Amino acid sequence: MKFLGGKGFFKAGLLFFSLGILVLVRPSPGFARDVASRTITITVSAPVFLVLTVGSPGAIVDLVTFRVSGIPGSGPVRGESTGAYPVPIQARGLLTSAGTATLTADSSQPLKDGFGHTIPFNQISWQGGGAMPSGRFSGASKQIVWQQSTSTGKFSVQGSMAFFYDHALYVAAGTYQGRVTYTLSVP
Amino acid sequence: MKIRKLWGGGLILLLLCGLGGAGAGDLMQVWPLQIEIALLPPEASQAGLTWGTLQSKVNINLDTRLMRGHTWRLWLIPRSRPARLPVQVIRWEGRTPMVNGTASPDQRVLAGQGPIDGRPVSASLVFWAQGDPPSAGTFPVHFDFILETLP
Repeated sequence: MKFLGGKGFFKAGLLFFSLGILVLVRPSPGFARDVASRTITITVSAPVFLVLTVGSPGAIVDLVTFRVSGIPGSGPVRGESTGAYPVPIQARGLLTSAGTATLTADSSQPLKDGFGHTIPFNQISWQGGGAMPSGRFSGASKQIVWQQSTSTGKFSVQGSMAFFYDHALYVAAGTYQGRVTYTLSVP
Repeated sequence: MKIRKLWGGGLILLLLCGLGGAGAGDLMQVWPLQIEIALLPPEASQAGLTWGTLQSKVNINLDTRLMRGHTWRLWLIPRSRPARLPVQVIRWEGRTPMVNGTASPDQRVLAGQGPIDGRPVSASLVFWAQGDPPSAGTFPVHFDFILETLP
């Protein structure tokens, strides 16, 4: 074994020193590097909102049909829907103040056959499911069909309605059509 | 004579330093530095609400003449997180060379990439947010735009 000493040792030291400098100075070829950075502020606002869905979601208006047979007084007729049945009802929201959420129905316009004959909406009742109580249309424009106290923050209610036509009145034969509009209000 | 040479050398050095500084500053321009977006609840799209007023655009200019390497990449990472809002609700859309993405709380997410070919890059990212809101209010999130070059 030969040990370096004197000039040889000095030369070897110089060589290692030079290699070390090369390693330090030479940019690493295989690595990505960050060359610039900017910071932006994104402010996400969660606004107060309220969504009410009666029947099918979206802009679809479900049609509930009562197929009447037999003479009046022979018993209520259960409805059937173009959407899900019993008709689902869902209310969700984000509230900033506590109070009472109220669902109203406008059934002030009676069912019409197009020939001047009408059936008042108070001939139709519903059997509630979930949070929705059972009831009957009154024919009023702001009939309260459901109420619940709410607190701040998230708000969510689900229920359903199965409609029944009393089939208690004698009316002119034909097809009668009407529309009920539901409105949900919160504090 | 020696003094004049020294002055000349110093002037060249100063110019080089100045150019270098200006170059580094113009590698990436991002604006505006503050935007506001609204958190759209999942049911809102069903109810017929649109994105129109809820999204914001951030413009990005890159000068690839001042970059070294073969490819540039733009990454986004949230630098701060609101306690109650998951940053994953923040999303962005971008056209080539930018790409769509969803913010991640712990890691960089790619927002765009392209070649370093000496041509300027002028692009934008449209930010929006969708998810379950924790509560009503505003939640500021600081985002770092990080420009990276690859050899």
